[in-house]
Amino acid sequence: MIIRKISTLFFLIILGMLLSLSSCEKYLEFDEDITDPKIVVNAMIHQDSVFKVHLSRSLSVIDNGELTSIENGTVEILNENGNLIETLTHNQFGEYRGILQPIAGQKYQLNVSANGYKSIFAEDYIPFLVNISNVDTAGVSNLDGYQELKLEISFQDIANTKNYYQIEIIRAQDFDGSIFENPTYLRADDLSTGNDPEYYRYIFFDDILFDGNLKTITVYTEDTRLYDTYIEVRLSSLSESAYKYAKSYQAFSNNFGFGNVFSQPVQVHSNIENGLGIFAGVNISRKKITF
Amino acid sequence: MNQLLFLYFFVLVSLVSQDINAQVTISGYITEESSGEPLIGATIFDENSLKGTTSNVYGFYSITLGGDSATLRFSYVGYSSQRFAVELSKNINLSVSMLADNQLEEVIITGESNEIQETSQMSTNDISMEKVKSLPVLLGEKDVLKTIQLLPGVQSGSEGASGIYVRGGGPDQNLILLDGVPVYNASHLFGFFSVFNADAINSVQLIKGGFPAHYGGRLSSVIDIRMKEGNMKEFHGEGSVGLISAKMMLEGPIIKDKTSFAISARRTYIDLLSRPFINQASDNTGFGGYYFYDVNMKVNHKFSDRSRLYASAYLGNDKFYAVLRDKYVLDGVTEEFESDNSINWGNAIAAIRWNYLINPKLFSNTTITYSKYNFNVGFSQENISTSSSGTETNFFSFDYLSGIRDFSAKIDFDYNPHPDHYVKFGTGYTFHTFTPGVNTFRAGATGSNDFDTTFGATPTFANEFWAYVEDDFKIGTRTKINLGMHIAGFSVEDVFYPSLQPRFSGRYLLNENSSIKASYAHMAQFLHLLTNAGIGLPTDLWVPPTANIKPQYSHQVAMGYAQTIAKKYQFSVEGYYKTMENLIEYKDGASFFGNNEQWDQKVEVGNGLAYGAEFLFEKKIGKTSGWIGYTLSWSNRTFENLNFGQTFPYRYDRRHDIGAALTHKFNDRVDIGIVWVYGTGNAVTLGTERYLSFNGAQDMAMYGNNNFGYQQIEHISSRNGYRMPAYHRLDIGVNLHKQVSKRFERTWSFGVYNVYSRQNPFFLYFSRDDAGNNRLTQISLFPLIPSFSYSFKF
Repeated sequence: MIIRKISTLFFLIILGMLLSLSSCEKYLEFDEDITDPKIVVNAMIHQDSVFKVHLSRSLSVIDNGELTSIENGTVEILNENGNLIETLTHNQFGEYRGILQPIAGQKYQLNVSANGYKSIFAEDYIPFLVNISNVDTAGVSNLDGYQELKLEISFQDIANTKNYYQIEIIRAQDFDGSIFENPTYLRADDLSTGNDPEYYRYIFFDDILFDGNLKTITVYTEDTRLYDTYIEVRLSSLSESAYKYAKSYQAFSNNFGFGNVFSQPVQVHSNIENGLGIFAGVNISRKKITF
Repeated sequence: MNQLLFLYFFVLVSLVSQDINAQVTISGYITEESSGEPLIGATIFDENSLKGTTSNVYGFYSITLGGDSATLRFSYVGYSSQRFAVELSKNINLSVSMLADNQLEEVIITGESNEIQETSQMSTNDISMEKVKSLPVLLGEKDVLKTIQLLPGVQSGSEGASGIYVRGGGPDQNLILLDGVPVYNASHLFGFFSVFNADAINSVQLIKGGFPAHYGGRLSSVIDIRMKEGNMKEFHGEGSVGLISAKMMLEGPIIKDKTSFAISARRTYIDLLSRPFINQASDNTGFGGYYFYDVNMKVNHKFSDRSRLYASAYLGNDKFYAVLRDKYVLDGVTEEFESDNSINWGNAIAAIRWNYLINPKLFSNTTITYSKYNFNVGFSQENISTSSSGTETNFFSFDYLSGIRDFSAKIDFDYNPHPDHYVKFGTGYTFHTFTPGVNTFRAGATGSNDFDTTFGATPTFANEFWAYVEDDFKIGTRTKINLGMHIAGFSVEDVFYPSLQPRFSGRYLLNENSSIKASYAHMAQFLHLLTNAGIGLPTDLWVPPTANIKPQYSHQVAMGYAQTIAKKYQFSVEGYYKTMENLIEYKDGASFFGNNEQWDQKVEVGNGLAYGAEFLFEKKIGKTSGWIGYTLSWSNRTFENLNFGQTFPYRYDRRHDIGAALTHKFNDRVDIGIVWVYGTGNAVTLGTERYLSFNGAQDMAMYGNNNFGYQQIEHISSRNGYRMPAYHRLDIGVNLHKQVSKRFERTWSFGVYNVYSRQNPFFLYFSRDDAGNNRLTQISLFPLIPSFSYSFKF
């Protein structure tokens, strides 16, 4: 942390010097200005809910307009052979809902058309549920003397398929009988999963190194056992598209603020043909640890 | 390839054995008359047998001839040729001092010479220090690397920076050698100035392709810089005072014609000039600033004509510093407070070299070197409370250190068995210590135990070795080939990376003035640079390959045509095609700083492809001299996990690049220099569209439209997919010389950087104009900037 502060100070000095040298600013014509908005799809589909798809419009980065919802669209869910399963109906503010629930292991296609926009197409699958088999917890203190809760999360990976995972931790506090759930930050201690040891909202990894095996991943979070009623560990099994989207979106979100200048820009994954956004499958396993 | 090598060795052995009888070797050193400095690459030509050779980097030459007599002509551009008639009855030691031809008129060079079409080496440029000193440059700081940037095939990176990008390669892929020792960070102040003080340099050579086998360890270029040895005859000095720095160089004999020294130093002084103002403004409670300095030292001693020792050192440092002090009395207690904060980085280099002439045909050079680059952040604070009951002290300090340190030893041989063969072979070893980030924290107080801890990355040790053999040989009268093999290996932790690197370059003379050339080089680089691709920052970190991140490799083929026109002009055109493997780039969103312990988790690995054509038209001699170069090039990268796996342009992919440098000497008192550069804009990454994220969409589904606060995504359709506007600039400088006395000459240099004040792009971003519209906005750094400096020589 202290390094980051020092680096921040240092780069502010540099930035100051560069800006003091800078002779001028001027506006340029933006050659890539895209004037035709596209359909934006946002749908993370899972077996615990009916099909839900949100539609809105994209705008050019230099367009100050509002990213409004699209409420006159035709939203069709098809099976992997392209046969119509159901047509979703508009619920409110751009959200369309069906009455069927997706089934794990199935592929689904999405067709959306709306007046004034190019029609879009997307396809994805619902991964099988991977249950958390065990979570061991222990309080530890790290090098800085900071109290952390160590969680060893075990699960059985599905063999012979590429599986993608996301772990998040939710803290729950009791205020006068009402439970409030809030996400918390965590870090992974398993470099083989490709994670750096910083704190993040989600930890992502795939099963390339443990296909078909019982895996125990160790993560750390703030030790809040004194204040919390329970914590909930969520292990999401993600489709490849969902994984790429969620992982790149986390990198994109972290990139805001100061880091934006001195970090690489992030390209967020999208699997929507002729449009933007995400249509992808997830399957979530949860385990509560009550204190 | 094996059959070719076999054939080659058969020819070599038969040639050497057939000529072993009745052969006489003439050898010696070629030096400059007035200073005794070696002349590198001088031509020695026997007019009788029409055989020739050139002097090596120590000025040594050796030529073995048959027959009864030889007429040797020694020539070097800018110097009067000398001719010697010798009887070939026994081996001859002939050292030659050459006199500078101050008129710089056309020097007549006949027969075999070192002209562009003659050498088997291609993709090579010799940079004249005269040019470096007479061309105008930003803030008047004469700079070798900035002169190199004007050559075709070399790109300059950001505005004003001294970064070098050769044939589509990265800034880490240049082997920058100072007296044969690699320099890791060649820039001061974010790359605006290079670490090389032009006054201390004897010669500079840039190689972009067709690398001879004695070079290795980097993919894209070799910049071989040789420092001055020091005047063997008499004491001399030169110095200058410019806008931002002052420098001084002294050289002379310690024992005439036996031992000499050269020492040079440079320091910027903005911080010193501004300190009184800062002191006044801060009421003497604090001051701070920035400076850089560098010092070059060299001593050489001639034990005999066969044995010579050189010791050289370089030390350079950049430092930001801030000191805060306070002292006050409260309730009878005197409180004193001092805080020292600094960020500094720099190189330290030392080398000891021993030249030994084993026999007139076999020259050896043994080198032991040390090279270090450190980046250090230090904070310390001390409080002293003094009262009637005693003194209490509290302190804490924090240091962050990252860097690389090398110890190296090597031995190189030059073997001249026959005028048609110039063989080089050698071997070497480097012990690397990589320190990617170590933190030290100390704290203490009167009456308590001190706290002292070190944490962070532990140093990584690595071993690198290499061996090579190459021969520059002639086949018939028209063909000359340089064939070689470089073998290298690198071991780090539990992995070992071997590498076999064949090298080839050759020329075929079409007629006495023109030739076609071709080359192939396979290179390996056992180092990666974690860099932010933008400005050159001292936090750039050298790291070794690991089990996951393999060394970088490249293959480059080049073909070209070279011609000398009317003895005055040189023209060359070259096409190249280069593939690069295992390049690293930061992952999307990775921060350039922070904990580098697990740096290999922050990067992606991919490949690069660069190809293009370079045209160079040059006039090296005469009152008006200079060059114009044009490069047409492409440089792309393909990474599985970047840009959705699609190929994207390298940030410094530059379709068109023009560099023109011209000097004209009106008379001994006035000369001018003009530079014009043009380059296609850099490729940068910009978003094109924006849209709701999944979280943003969930919020909209709940709360409806009319809220600008929903989370959005900026869509980037392609990495480095947007082109900045083109870069171009004209610089003009004039140098006014005056011989004040017999021994003292002074020069006033006046320069204007960016004469027509072009607003060149440095950085692009989106901002809002006064009407509230989002606009693409460009920041430019340097408008028209005048400069002047005063320099002197005695």
